[in-house]
Amino acid sequence: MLGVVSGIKLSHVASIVSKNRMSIEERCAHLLTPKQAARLARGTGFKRLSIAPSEVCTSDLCYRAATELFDRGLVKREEIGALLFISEYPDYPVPATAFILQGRLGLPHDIIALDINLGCPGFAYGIYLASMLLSNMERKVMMCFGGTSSRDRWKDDTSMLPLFGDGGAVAIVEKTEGGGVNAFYNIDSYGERYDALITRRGGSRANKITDLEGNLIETERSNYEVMDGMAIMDFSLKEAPDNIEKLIEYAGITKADIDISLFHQANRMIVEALADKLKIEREKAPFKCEDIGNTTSASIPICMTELKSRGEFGSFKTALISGYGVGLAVSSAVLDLSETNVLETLQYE
Amino acid sequence: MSEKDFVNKMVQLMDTEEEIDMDTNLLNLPEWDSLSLVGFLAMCRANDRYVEPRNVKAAQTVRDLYVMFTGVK
Repeated sequence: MLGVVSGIKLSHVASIVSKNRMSIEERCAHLLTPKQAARLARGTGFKRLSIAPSEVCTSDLCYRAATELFDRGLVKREEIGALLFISEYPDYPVPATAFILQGRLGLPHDIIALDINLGCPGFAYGIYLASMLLSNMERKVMMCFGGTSSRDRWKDDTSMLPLFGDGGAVAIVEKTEGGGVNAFYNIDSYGERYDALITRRGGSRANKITDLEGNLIETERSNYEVMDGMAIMDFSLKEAPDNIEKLIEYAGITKADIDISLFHQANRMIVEALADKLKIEREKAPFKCEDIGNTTSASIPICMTELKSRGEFGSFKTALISGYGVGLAVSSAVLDLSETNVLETLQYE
Repeated sequence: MSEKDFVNKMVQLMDTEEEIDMDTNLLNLPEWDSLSLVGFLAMCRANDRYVEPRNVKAAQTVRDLYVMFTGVK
């Protein structure tokens, strides 16, 4: 679905990853020889993964990132009118984590708090939804992204174990003064392919398998997320570029007009192949999560803060962002990031 | 793309130290694993060759992949 919104901007972005980083060799030591692990790291582009302490939830990471925005005086608590927690990793099945964050952050009571179950396609989706909320709101929308997905990995899964890291991000969307430029969106859903990336247990349809004391049985494969790697690659290099091509045409721009393409940091192979497929220079489609891993809905904001940390976040007047994966779904946007204040990546100790 | 260039590309893609040629049986190569399968699919898509995942999985020789990648039998 194509759409356009005017008069909004992504004003602030903060992200946080674990200070604890684990090499692929260490992560897969029980499955791969050091030589095999090194080959895998070369292939995916992930050398190390951000692994958060087991008691740390996605909301803890988001809390720290949000607190940084408040403490630096970049945003005031009373300015927030809605909080969206866009993640597959809530604190509890009930209640929504957005309420927990609203209370913990000391945000006003008269705000909208919503959880949105989205992973990799979450970032552009979130900006779109925030823009819709802003159409009848005089305050700002805080979006929280990310996941502690490293612990949703089966111990013998060589396809997912070396890819996923933990991270969180917070971004603020607000109205611009005097209208401002347009932001264009294209969002597609392919629910018939839902089982290409799925955790079959833990929802209402099937409980996790536990022992009599309620401890998760770690040898039970169905307790953990499963990915059909070929199906995801197929999707990321067919439906995702189709979505982006339509968006570029709709926005009335050419690829040469795009200052930067921020693609979901699934792995280096996908990011580079997507750039090649779209005939976009690889230099303008950065992969910056080599020491972090795939952090689901936080990966694009983390890419932004990594660019900032390395002194590479310029004034991007025309930016393309695109996330693709779980759903299956693709969400992309073309927007102006030249006024976006991006912090350097924070470290969770 | 010549057969020689394709073989070199596949050595690079699979990141293998094995000697391979067009008739190498992929099933005997430990490096023809899920990483290489998705890598080959990505290489095809990036070069505007639409190949089906099931056909990549069914490939038996390097030549099968060459035919898929180039369309030349």
